[in-house]
Amino acid sequence: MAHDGSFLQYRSGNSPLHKLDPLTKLAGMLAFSFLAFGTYIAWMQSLVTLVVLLIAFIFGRFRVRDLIAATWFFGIACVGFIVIQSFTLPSSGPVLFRLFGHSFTTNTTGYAYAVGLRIYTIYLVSIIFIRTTSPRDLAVSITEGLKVPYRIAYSFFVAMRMIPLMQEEMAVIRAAQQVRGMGRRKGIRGQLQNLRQLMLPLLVRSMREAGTLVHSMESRAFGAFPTRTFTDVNRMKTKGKAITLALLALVVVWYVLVGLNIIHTQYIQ
Amino acid sequence: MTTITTHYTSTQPIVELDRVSFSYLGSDREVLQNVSLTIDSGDFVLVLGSSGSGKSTFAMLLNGLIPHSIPGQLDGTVKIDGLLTMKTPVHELATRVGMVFQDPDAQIVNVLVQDEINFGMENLRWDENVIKMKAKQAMSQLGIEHLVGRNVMSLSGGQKQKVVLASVLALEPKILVLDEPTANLDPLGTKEVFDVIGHLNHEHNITVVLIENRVDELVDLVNRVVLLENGTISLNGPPGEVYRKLRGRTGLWLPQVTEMAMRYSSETLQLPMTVQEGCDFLVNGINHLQWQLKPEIDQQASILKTSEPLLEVKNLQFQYHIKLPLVLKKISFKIESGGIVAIVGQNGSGKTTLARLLVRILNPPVGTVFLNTQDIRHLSVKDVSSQIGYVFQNPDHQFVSDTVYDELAYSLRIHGFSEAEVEEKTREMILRMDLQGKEQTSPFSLSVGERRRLSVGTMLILNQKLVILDEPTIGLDPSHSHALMALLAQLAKEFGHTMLLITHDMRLVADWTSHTIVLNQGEILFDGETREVFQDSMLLREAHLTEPPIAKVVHRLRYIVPDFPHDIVSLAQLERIMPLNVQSMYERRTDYGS
Repeated sequence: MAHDGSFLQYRSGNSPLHKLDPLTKLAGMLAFSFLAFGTYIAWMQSLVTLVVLLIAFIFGRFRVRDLIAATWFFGIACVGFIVIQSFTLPSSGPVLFRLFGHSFTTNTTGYAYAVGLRIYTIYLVSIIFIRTTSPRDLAVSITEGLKVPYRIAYSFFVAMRMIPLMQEEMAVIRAAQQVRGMGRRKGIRGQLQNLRQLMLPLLVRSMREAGTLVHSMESRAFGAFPTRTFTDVNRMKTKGKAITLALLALVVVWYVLVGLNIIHTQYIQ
Repeated sequence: MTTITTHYTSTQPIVELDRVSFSYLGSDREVLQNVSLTIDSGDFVLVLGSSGSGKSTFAMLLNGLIPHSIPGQLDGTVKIDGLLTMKTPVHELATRVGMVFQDPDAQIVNVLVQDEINFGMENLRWDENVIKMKAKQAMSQLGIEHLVGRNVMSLSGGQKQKVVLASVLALEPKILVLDEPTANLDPLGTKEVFDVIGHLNHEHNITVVLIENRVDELVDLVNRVVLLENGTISLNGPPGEVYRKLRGRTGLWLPQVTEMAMRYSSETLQLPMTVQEGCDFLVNGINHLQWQLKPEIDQQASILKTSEPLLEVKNLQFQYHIKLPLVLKKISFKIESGGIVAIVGQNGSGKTTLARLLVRILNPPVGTVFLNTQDIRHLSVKDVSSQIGYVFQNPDHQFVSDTVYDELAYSLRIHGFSEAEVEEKTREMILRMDLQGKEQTSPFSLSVGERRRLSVGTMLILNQKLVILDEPTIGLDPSHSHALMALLAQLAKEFGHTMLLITHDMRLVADWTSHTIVLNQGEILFDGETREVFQDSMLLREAHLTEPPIAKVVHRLRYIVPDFPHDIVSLAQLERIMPLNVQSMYERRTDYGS
């Protein structure tokens, strides 16, 4: 059944983020990742995350339900990370509350929260980028904008294109093996056998399809010349350049201020 | 009347193969051996051959993929439009030879339709304005302008194959090479693709080299047939001449009308191929014949009427997600024990979803699917799999073992058969499926036809009462296809097994099934005797199905011979009312169609 891809796939749309050129979005993704990286204080990290969420909802026209569906698993992993960090890191600062005989302090818990939220934020930014950027546009942009050889850019793009097909293929293989009466084995050895029996048909099918794809591409002159024409390229325009410069300035200023100890992004004893 | 349609006067060879032999790197076996062939500009050549005969290798020789991209030992010369492929890079040949493969999903590179069509031209560094103009022309030629902006994943199989064709046509090739381009398509998609190819050949003088097994749909288009056997060209000539030489040989498709004429005539007549020619053939014969006015045409496996149905579906409704449209809309039907039942309908009609609900790959709502009166929701998945077999469309998906022997033995072992029983049943199935000598081979290393036979064997070996087969004959050559269907019919008739066939092959449906269910957009349009399906032109139109040629011949015949039984849909049924012993009538006549 045809669908619009998984959570990790581009979804066509008409939002301002969809219309924005890929390089500007790439710059945005990197800028917010750097901001998240450089922040260890809970409220600051929350602010970065909030800005990213607002961008997703306002400019990416994401629905809350879709965003939750795309990030809940990662979100739970981050919460687990926060809990473990809160228990294991040395206590620092005033006690916030006690649980199971452990004192949770503002600085330690805040630090754990900021680190967990940072991981979530970086994942969130990546999801926004992937879901609003056509792989082909991205391949074209990095070829033209960053001068990456188009053969390399296209191999990345083709790999992205193949992900949903492989996901469908895997679901069919699971179903087919279920019909053969194959149960899921338990234990590490059993799990490895399950994996082998699943991966072998997937690998064989993928190799066959990859062979056809390569022949199809070559018979249409792919790779014949060092360069190629790109039609309907979503090139970086003035708006994109302005946004990229603004984001670059923000990151530079932020790190300079941090470096000069004018603002603090981490808890100080 | 002539049976050979030559669209163009031969001008000059556009394809020249001179003593070509080829073996793949690392293999001593010559896939092609000493092949010499010329194809004239404007020809429409149909390449026939069983699985492993070298058809795909032949195709890849024509656009230079061999030897430039696929290494191996190539002897002899291949000239395309005067250029030696050995010395001409693939990209230069790309503007002369367009290549279309079987599976559209595996050959589409891009996400958006227009990007896919532009792909080849962009690689050749054509000017952006030229690219846009050529893309527009190609889309217009194929009538797919409305697909601009669409995601290829959202297209039907026929639409995807047209996009691939447009991408190739935009490069303005002189030759189109198509390797089974309709294998994955429903009857409507197949017709669309063949119509387009025929149009390109007729109106744009594009030479077509088509590798196909479906010969019936092509009789009006093809002016030359090449038969490849074991890597050599064994027959080459006008279709009538080639088909006449195939008389009495098994393992190759003939147009059904030609096959009919061969059964009634042993002389080397000019054989009919089209429906009209078949009609003329029968009209001339009928003047001398008697036929049974009330023929008994209950074919192959008669349904065993039992008090309870083997399978009953009641008001089954299904959707993959609450926000998505219904795939099945409250459908109900019953299937009795014994017989071969067909489920037909165009792609997306809900056939595969239905099959998956029946074997509990998907869970049907409680109280909607009953097997031997038991609600299958109350059976474990293992219980269901021991009673219902399901042969997937792609054999590779179902393989779980490293050798053919173990693959067949797998189901027996997990169901607790003794090793002696396992060996006996496995050996028997190896023989039945014609897989002798392959016991220790990896299932994935088998040919397409062998993989298909193995996958069917793995399901038949457990003797399940109900076996669902999703396009079981795709990739099989006619002799293996016939043998498989005969085996299924035998199991149905002698042991009361029920075979549920999901297929797009209407000839298969007409020849082998007694009961047909027609699905359309999740609803049952028809549930009854197979022969009735082909009497109802409205139904056929609505469900986008086509009649087999014999049914078309008989339909036309009833306007000429009003009392001729009009519900004949297969050759076997025709023989029942017109026994083959009347052939002497034909042998005295050679002017059936004049």
